[in-house]
Amino acid sequence: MLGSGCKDYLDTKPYSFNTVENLYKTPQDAEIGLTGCYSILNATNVQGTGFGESFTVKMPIMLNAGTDELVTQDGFTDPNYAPFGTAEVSSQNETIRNNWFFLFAGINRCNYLLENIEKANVPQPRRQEIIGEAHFLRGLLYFYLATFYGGVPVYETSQQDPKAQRDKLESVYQLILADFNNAYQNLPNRAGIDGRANKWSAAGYLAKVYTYLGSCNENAVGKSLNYPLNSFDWVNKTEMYANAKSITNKIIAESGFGLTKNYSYLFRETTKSQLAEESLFSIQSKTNSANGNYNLWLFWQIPIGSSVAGGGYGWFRPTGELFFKYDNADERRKNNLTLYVAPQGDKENIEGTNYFIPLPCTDPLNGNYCVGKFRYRDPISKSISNGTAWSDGNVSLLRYADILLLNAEAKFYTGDETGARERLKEVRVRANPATINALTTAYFKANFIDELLDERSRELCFEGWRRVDLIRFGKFESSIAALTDYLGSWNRIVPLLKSNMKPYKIWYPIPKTEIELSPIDQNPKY
Amino acid sequence: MYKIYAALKCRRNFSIPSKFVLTMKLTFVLLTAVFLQVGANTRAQNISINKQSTSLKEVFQLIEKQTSFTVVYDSKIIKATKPFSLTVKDVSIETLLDRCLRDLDLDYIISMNTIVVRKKPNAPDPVIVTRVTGKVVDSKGTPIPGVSIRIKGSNKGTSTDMDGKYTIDVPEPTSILVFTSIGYNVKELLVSNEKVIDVILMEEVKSLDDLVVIGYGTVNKKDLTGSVSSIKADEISKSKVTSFQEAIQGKMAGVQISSSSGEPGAAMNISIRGANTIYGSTSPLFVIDGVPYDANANEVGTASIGNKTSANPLANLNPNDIESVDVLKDASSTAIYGSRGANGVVIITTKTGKLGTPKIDYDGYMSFSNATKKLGVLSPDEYLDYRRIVSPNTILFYKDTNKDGLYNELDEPVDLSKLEKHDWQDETLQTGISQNHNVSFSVKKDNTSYAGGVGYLDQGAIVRNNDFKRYSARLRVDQDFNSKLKIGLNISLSQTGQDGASQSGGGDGLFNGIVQNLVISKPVEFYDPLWDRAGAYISPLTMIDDAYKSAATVQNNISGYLNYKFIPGLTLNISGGGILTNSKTKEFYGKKTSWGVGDNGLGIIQDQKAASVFSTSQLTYEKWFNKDHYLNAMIATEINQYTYEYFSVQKSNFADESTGIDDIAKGTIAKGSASYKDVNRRLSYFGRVNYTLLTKHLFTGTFRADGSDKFGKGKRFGYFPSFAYGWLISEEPFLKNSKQISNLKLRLSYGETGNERIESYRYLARLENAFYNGELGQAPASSANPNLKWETTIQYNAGIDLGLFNNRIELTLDVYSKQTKNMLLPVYVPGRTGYNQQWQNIGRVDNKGIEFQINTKNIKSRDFNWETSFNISSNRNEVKDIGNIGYIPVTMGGGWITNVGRVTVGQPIGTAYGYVSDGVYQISDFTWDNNSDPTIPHDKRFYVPKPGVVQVTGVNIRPGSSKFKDLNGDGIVDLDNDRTTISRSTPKFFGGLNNTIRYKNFDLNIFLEGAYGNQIFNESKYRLEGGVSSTWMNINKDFFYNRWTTENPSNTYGDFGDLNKTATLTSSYFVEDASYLRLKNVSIGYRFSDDLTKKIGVGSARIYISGSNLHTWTKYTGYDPEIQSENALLAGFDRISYPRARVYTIGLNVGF
Repeated sequence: MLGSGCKDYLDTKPYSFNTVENLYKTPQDAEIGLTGCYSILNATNVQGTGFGESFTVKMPIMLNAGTDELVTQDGFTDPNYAPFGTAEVSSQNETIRNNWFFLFAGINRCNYLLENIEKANVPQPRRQEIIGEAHFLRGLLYFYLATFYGGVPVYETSQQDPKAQRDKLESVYQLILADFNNAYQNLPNRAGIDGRANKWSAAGYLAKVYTYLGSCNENAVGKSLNYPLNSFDWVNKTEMYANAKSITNKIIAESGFGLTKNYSYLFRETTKSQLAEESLFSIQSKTNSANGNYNLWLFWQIPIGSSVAGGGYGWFRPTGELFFKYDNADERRKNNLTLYVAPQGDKENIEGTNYFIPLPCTDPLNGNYCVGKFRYRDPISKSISNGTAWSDGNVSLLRYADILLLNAEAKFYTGDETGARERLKEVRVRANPATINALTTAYFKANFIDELLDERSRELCFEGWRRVDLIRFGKFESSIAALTDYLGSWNRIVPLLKSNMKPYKIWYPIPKTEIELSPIDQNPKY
Repeated sequence: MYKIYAALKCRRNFSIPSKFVLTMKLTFVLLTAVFLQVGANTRAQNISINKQSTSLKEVFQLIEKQTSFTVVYDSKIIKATKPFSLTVKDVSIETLLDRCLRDLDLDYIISMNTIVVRKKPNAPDPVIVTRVTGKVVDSKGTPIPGVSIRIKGSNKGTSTDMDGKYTIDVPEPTSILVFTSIGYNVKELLVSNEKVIDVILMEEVKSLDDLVVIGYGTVNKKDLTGSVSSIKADEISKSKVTSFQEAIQGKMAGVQISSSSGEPGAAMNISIRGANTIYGSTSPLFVIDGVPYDANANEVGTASIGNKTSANPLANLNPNDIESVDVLKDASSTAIYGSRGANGVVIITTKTGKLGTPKIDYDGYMSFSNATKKLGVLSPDEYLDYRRIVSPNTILFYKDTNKDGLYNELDEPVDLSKLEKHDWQDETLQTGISQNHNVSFSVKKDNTSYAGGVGYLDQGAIVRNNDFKRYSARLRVDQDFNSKLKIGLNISLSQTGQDGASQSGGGDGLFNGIVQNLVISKPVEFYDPLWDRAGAYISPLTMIDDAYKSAATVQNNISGYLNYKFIPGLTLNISGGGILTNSKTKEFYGKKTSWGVGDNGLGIIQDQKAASVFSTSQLTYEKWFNKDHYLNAMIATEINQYTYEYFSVQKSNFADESTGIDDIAKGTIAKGSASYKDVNRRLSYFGRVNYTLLTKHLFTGTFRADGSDKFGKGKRFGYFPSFAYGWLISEEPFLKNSKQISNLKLRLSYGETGNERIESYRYLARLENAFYNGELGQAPASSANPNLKWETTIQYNAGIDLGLFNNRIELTLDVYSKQTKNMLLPVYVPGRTGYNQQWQNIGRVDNKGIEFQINTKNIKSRDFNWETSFNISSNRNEVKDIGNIGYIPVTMGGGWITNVGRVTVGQPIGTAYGYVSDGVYQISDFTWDNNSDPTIPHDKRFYVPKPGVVQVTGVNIRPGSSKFKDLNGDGIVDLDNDRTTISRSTPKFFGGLNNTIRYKNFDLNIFLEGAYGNQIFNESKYRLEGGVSSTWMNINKDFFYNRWTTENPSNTYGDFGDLNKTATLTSSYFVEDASYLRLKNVSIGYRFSDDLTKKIGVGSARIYISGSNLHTWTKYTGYDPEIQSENALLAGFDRISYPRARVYTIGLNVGF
């Protein structure tokens, strides 16, 4: 009878996907695997899950919103976004759940590469570079995990134990520092492939980790929570600041990175070469990038307005306080805080590309007051699919101006306040060569750290550092408490933010489903 | 006087061979083939004989043995004939008889399946008219009035009077009288020389002797042990609908059918005895003319933008071609389909050639449809009043003349009287005009039968530019080559076309589908550069006119069989075939649509190909061991392969839109492309044994082993047994002669079925494409699970069939219990493993239910007939276990209220999860500035809740905010402690009531259908109550006039959604009762009298008018309570679905 002779009838193979054991057989496979590791940085979804819980959409919100810079637009209530700007993120928040998964998925990819790279027979020196890049990415992902959630399970193999418990922060940072150091030792000055990590990307993040740990110890971050897992007591802050100083000095002296001439070109879609002069590491996006993995600035990083003028949604809005941190003469404010773009509005031509100019903001009480720092070009010339929503612009994660400010911080804590103040001036002068002295006077604060934090805000606002900075300097709660409900049009949501702000919110909650799926410690009070 | 001994054999075609032989001594010829011949299956009609010496009697016996003909003759007339030798091979009856009788003084006539051998009539005598009289009575001796009596082959006829008496003049003794009456079996009688012919007409016990199609065979309904619901062609044709699912909706107990929306060609969801599984499809297996088919919605193209309206892959099937639909419900019936039977099996059989004169039928209708409902939104003037309240300082009221970026008193006001005003629902909803024409034919002659037809449907929709077309053709041929071999071929071809823009939800999950736009679009034309993202005003009309979507699907269903009878009782059947579907979807979204503006024009082509092919080899043996033991056994093997391929290309940036999608080269940006191929295979071995003891104890056992390549080595085969027992209690002596109880049967069954309808190769560790900066990367996407295996459903069923008063009342009651174990679920794994989900066998879902069906023949007389059927079912679904997590979250993308549902242990599938609504916060709940200074205007107050007033975590409540119940009584409403299950998508009961009334030539059908206890989470309410005023959308009129204000402290409606911060939280406020009762169909027909049809030269003619969806009784406030969201885990979720049409039809059936 039919069928009886078909022993292998059911031995079929998939047509449209490959299986894990078939990767890492050739040098080309190793490159494909490595690209897969990078992909996590701006993945729209991973394994069919989530919507941009990477640097694409959600991480910029997790890193910027609910601070003295940025709050939720009053009336905007989408539970995947809005709670971040009102400090009401619960353990059931889907964004938290997916972000946790995204970051660990990236770590798994790196571990898988590190385990299997030897099978791929990649010739040296490329093999060592690939290993260095994977270490860099793993360190980067763990750094963000640790700043968001505190101590997390440390995995160094792709057999990630589902029952693994949280390791204390000390162990996590040992791995992070080891990873960044590995990358620092093994990577070249500039990567052979556009946008890949180089020696200085690793150096820059080492500086970030040193200053982060130093200041967290200095300011007894989280001590009141009495939660040993996330404690910074183990940190030797003197050593950290010394390390921070030496590595930033080295970057300044040897890296070849510097401040690009035009501050605003750091935030335009098409000025990638200028960004590359200053950015130690950027999230890449390319026109006609295959099947997604673009960047997305639409929801709040660009001026509000019609999509045909390159406008966005304004789901998060700047505080009035940020507006008044700037002197009226500071050119950076004109770039960073604006009103809307209109299709009939004026355009400017930047290196051959038209950009709509948003209406300037002179009063943060205007209802159209919004973040204008990043800009989409006139979409008519944009050859990217759904050009009004997605962006082919690169986004800097860490730029030279920040290194200067970290160097200032390290100098201050190692006893060189004068040198530190010089660094602030060095950062300011780029956008304001004519008014630098007036600004330096206007911005002067006797407490250097207060001035440093203000300067970090003026220079780096909305670039993903404000929340981390406020936390590590122990000012997360006090900076929110100091906000008014009247200085800016969107300050009306501040009372809600204030009422929700609690000391324990320096950590995001461990996702509830994670705990339900395999019991693991929750952060205190969640 | 003729004295004829006739041997009448009871014929049947599959299950029970001759069980009794009657020899009757009759004074006249009794031709009673009709009531003994059931079904359309015929035997080989050709004969082979090879005898050296034979007699006529022996020849006649051989005829009876080899064919389904019965030979009647007067033994005297053949006594005199001499033995003769005869060798014929594979000749027709006629040839054989001609040869045997040519030299004798005999000839024959064939009437139905009976051959009458008689003396040759003498040379034509002058016509001697004989007057015949008689009386027609039923089996109990009661006279039957109105029986039609015709002389066969002539148009002469009469009918019985009130006493059942008749008189008719017959031209010759060989005339045959045909007695017909509705509700009785037709009887044909040879007149011979009788002057008085009294007749007993047997009551038609049609429904009991109806054949029921079961898996890989048929069985008499009487002998059925499982739970099967059937609908025949006449019932299907009553409701003039375009898909067969609509035709059976509400008519079968336990079979719940609902359409996903009112859009033509939209998917129909069939759920048999509840949802068995959480992830996999809950759609039953369809078997169309023996071809097993998992109706996969992906086979038919649909919009690639927005919330897809999934299409109906079975829309290609023309309901007019269907002979019967049999739904197998319990595991005893479905287990023969093993792995694929868990969700029930729907067997569709198309029409075959019928005995009798060749027939051609025309059936055509024209129908007019319009929306059943309009949603009450604000008129243009009311809209301006509303906007004056919520957004006075905006571009609607002021021009920014001083260019300060603000719109206020410093600027020139807009002249509102100059604005264009609209009622979009009035302007866009239209009367849809449809037409449908079918021509079918049926021929059965000698050893060949064929049937076929062509059909054309053009279904217009109530929304402009939206229609559905179907062209269908089919041919079915069955040929008996000889007494052993029979083959058949069945070909059905169809093409459907569905045109129309994306109808529900737009790009990026926005709330801007066509139908939604009709409701929410601002009713005054103005342009807001901040909101109108197109940079221009986009009206619903431009959305319709500048968007193009056309899905053309060709479906070929081809199958054939070979049936070979080795020895009596042992039959081999080899069949094979497949359903090949090819669907191409073309879409073009112009710049003047919100879908195309972002891409500067967007063109998409999708192509889907699917082939579902099978081959079955089946050996059947049946035997009566003696009159008490009957055995029917079948073993078979089957192979199946399903191939699916997908391809799409998208381009954008069209400087010239004039050629639209038909020149995609004009798009300068390659937006995306995709291709996909999947093949999966099954290998099966199965068998069934039916054993009948004493004709009243029925036993059925089946076993199936199914192998699937969806699982890894060692886990591929699943084993699915079933057992059933039926007890025909009415055959027992104590009931056999009961006057009241004509049928009573108890059925008990147990069985296991499986499910593997998940994506292929989920057991492997897969890689996914992970691009970065335009380069290809790959990343692990899943961890392997070599232990993945079949999901199993165990089902117990107990049923009773009861027929009363000679089956004028028939009741069926079934109760069942099902447990689905080892569910195939993409189980969430801890995120720290780097994986999100892994396919595992986990969890359990139970369904318990009861089904009741009653059919009654209320009035049965010559001129007046009234039949009623009613069914009601209830199913209780409960998730028993979902592994190690507390719940599966159900989120709906593209909305403001997204985290709406949960699958929770202890609850049914399809529940919303949220807060319990508790009215509205009032001013008295708060204090405000300056010791609650009443002179401060409401909107300037900074409200603080009074102590003891329940607050909502993370939200600033105000008077007018929605209030929720504090379930744990801790004084604050929070996500962790105060949410609960707030809705159920599935009804507690559903059913239908059908009345058919025939009065003389008129017939009337009234059909009601409904569901009780289901709820819908009506998400659109939030938007229609001022939820997102920045989008300028129109709002609900009732809300606007009754909303909460300081003057109207309503406890029902809150303040405008923008001011009511708690309104955006998932709460029972949005849950509405979606119970409904629908007057689904009313039709009135008139059958022209025979006299008239004779005059115009047709066999029969009937005209009818019908109305569908005439009225719906429901409390639901959306367009229609019968909706299905795309997410099976929360089917009762509505975001303004396509409205249902009320349809008026006028039609004509003509038979030639």
